[in-house]
Amino acid sequence: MKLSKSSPLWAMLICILVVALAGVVVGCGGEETTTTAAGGEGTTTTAAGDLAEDQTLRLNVNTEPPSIDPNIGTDTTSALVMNNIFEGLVHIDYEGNPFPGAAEKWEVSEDGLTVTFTLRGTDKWTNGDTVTSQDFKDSWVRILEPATAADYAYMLYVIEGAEEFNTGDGTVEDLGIDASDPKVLKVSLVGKTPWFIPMMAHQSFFPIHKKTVDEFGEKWTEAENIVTNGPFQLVEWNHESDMKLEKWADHRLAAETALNTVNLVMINEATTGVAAFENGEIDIQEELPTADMARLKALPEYKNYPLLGIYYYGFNTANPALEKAEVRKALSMAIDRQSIIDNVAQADQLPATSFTPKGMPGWDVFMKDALIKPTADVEGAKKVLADAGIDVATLPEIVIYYNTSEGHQAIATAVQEQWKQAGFKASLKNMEWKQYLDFVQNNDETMVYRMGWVADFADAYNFLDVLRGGGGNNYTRWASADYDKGLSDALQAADDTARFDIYSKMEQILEDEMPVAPIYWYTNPELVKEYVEGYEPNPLGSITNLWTVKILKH
Amino acid sequence: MLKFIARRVLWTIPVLLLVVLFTFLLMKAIPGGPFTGEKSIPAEILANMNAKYGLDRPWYEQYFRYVVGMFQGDLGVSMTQKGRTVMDIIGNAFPVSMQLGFQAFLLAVVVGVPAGVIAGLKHNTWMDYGAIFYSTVGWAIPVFITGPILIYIFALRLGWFPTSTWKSPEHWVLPSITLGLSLSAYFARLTRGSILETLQQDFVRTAEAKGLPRRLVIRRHILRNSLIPVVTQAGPLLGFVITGSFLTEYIYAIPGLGRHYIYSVSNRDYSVVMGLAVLLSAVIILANLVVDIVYGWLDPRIRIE
Repeated sequence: MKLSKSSPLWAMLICILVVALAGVVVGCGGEETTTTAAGGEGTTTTAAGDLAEDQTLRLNVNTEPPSIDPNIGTDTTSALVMNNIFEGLVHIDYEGNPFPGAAEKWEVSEDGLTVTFTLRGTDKWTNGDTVTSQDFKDSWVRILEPATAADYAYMLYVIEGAEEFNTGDGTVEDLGIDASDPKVLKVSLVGKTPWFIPMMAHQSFFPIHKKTVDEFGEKWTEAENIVTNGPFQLVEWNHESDMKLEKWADHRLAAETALNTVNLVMINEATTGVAAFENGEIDIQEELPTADMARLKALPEYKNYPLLGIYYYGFNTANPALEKAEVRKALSMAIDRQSIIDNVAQADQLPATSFTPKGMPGWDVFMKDALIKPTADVEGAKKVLADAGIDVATLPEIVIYYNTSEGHQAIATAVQEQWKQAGFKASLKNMEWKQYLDFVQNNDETMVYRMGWVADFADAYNFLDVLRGGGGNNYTRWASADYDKGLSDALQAADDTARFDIYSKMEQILEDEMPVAPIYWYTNPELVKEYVEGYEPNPLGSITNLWTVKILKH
Repeated sequence: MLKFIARRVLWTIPVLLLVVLFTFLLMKAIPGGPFTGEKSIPAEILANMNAKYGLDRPWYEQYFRYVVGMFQGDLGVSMTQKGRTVMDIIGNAFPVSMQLGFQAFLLAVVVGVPAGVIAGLKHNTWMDYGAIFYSTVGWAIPVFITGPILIYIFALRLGWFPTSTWKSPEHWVLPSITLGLSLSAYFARLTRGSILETLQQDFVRTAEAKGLPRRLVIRRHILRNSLIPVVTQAGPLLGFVITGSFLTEYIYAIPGLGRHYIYSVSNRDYSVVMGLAVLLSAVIILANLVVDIVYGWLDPRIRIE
C-alpha cells in the first residue's frame, strides 16, 4: 500500500502540476474578449419569408458564467446572459445613447442631482408579478449591503448615501433611492453624473425579484428557481456545459423578437470553437486563436467589431529607474504600436494614440490631434533623453512584468526588442495571474507592467478615472493634483463641451508625464455565420442584446 | 478479508486529514487570494468578502472548520462560482469525468493488453515490432496533438462525429479514443515487458517440460503471473483517469472535473481546491484497495489474511 499511504504526496504533485499547467493554458486574465451586442435601433427589416423556420441561435460563450445574479456577476459572459433575461431601466444603442427599457421615460432635474424614472406599470416578471420601482430599490439595496460583498457595489457610489451604507457608516434609510410610488423611481445623486442614464443599462442596476431571492438564497439563479423580467428566460442550465434561453412570450418586446431559442455552449478552447463553427455546430464563435488569425481573416464569416478598451503598459513611477518623466516618455516613443498590431496581436487592433479609446463619445472633439504616435520614433526618444541630460547607458535594466500568456509574452518580446533599438536594456518576467496582480499592486519592485481596461460605461471619465492618484486601478504610484482636479471638475462641468475640454487637458497631462504607455485599442474579432442577421456587438464590453438577432434561410 | 477492508477504510481518515492540511497550507502559501482582482476593490468590501467566507479567521480555525464540515459531508461553497457548493460542482462534473475515464480505460485494456500479450509471446516477429511501434507512437504523441488531429480527420473532413461537447454517444467517441490511445500504448508496453519476463521463469519451463499444452501454459502460468504488475499500475491509473483528464476535457469542451483542478487553483478558490484534493485521494485509496483484492484472485500466494 505504498501508493495509498503516499497519496498526500500524489495530491501535492497534482497541485504543483496544476499550477504549472495553469500558466500554460489559462489565457490572458483581464483581457476581456467576450462580446457584446446590438442596440434595439437601426436593425434592418427582413421579410418574414426570408427567415429560417428554426429561429435558434447557437452561440459559444467560452466559459461557465460565474454568476448571473445581477448584484454579483461582473464578467462579460455573465453579463451577456443577464442582459437578455433581465431588463434594466434603459437600453443603450450602438453609440451608447439610452432608449427606454423598463422605464418608459425619465427626467433629470435642472441641477443634474435628481433623476426620476417612470415605469410602465404593465411590465411583468416571469411569475406574473408586476415590475415595480421597489424591485429596483431591492436590488440596489442588496448590492450595497455590506453582507452581499458585491464587487460592483462601487458603481452605485454616485447615489447619495450609497458609499456610506456600503462601507458600514450609513443606513439604508439614508440612501437616495425613493420607491414610494410603485411606478416612480426617484434617485438622488452626489454629483452631476452625465452618464448616469446610460449606466442604467449595466447589469449592476438591473432589478431583482426579492421574494425569489429570499426563498432560494444563493440558488435563486438556477433555471428552475429564477424569476426574470427580460425578453428571454432561462429554461436550462447544465453547469460547465450549456445554457438554453427561450423567448419569453409575455414580454413587451416579444412581438419583435425573432429568436425562439438561444443555445449558449461553453467551448473554452478557441481552436475547438473554430472547428465547431466550421463544422456547423455553432453560429457564433467569439474568441479566435492568434495562430490561425491569417486564415480566419480571409473567411466571409470574419467580423471585427469595435470595442472600447485599451491594452497598455504602466510604469511604476516610484521606481528610481522610472521616476523621470523623460525616461517614461522615451520608452513610450520607442514603441512601434502598428508593428505590434500587424505582427503580433494580429486582430486589426488600433494603435492607441491616447489613453481614452477612439470611439468614446466626444473623443473626436477632445482629441483633435493624436498625442502619441502609432509608429516608433527612436530618434525622438533619444533626443528626449539627451535634452534631459540622461545617458541611456547608465539606466538600469527595465523589467517588463506580464501575466503568463502566449499573447502577452509575444507583445513583451516585441517591446523589449524595440526598446533595445533605442538603447535601453530590458528583460521580461512573467507570473501567474493572481500572483501578478498581487505583485504589481503591492510590490514596489514593479517596473513596467501590462494591463487592460474595457469600458463599464461610455464616457471618458471611466478611463481617466483609472489613473486617479491612489485609485484602486492605478498601479503606477503616480499622482497629479491637476489631473485629480480634472476628475472632480468633470463631474461639475456645465455641459459636454466644458467636460470634453477638461478631458483634453487631462490627456495632455498624461502625455507630458507618461505614467502609462498606451499600446493598442482593442477590437472584437468574431466568426459569425452569414445567415445571422442583426447581431451587432456593442462597443461596451458587457452589453449584448440578442432580441434583434434573426436567422435567415440557409 | 472484511477486517482488512475495514482497517484500510479507517486508515483513509488520517490520510485525508493530512491531504487537506497540506493542500490548505500550499494554497495559503501562494500569493493572491480568491478576491484579488484587476479592478481592485475597496478595503471595506474586501473585508466583507473575507468575513463572508470565514477567511478573516486564523488559519488553524479555518482548517478545523473545514475538517469538521468534511466529515459531515459538507465541503463548503465555491468562493468564485457564486451560489455553488463544492458538492454541486463535484456532483455535476465527476460523473462526466468518470464516464470518459472508464470508456478510455476500457478501450485501453481491450486494445493494449492483448497487443502486449501477442507482442510478448511472438517476441521478435513482425507482430512484436508492430506492437512496439504502436506503443511507442501512442505513448509519445501527447493528447493535445492527437485530439486536434482526430477532430480534423473525423469531424471536419469525414463528418462522422461532432467536434466537441458531451451531449450524446456520438460525442463520446473521439474524446474516449484520444484519452484511450496513450493509455493503451502504455498497457501494451507494460504487458509485453511482463510477459517476456514471465517467459524466462522456471515454472514456465517446468510446465512445458512436463508436457503441458502450450495453450494451457499460457493461460494458467504465463498470463496470470504477467498480469500482476499490470494490475498494480492499472488501479491508480484508473483512479487518475476517472477523476478528470484536463487536456482531453479542455480540447473537447467536456464538462468534467479536469478544468476545476486548473481553474480552482488559478482562481484561488480554496474550498474547491481542497474538495478536489479530498476526492482525488479518496479515489486513489479506493483504487489501491481494489488492486489488493484483485491480487488475491490472481495469485493465491498474496491472498490477504
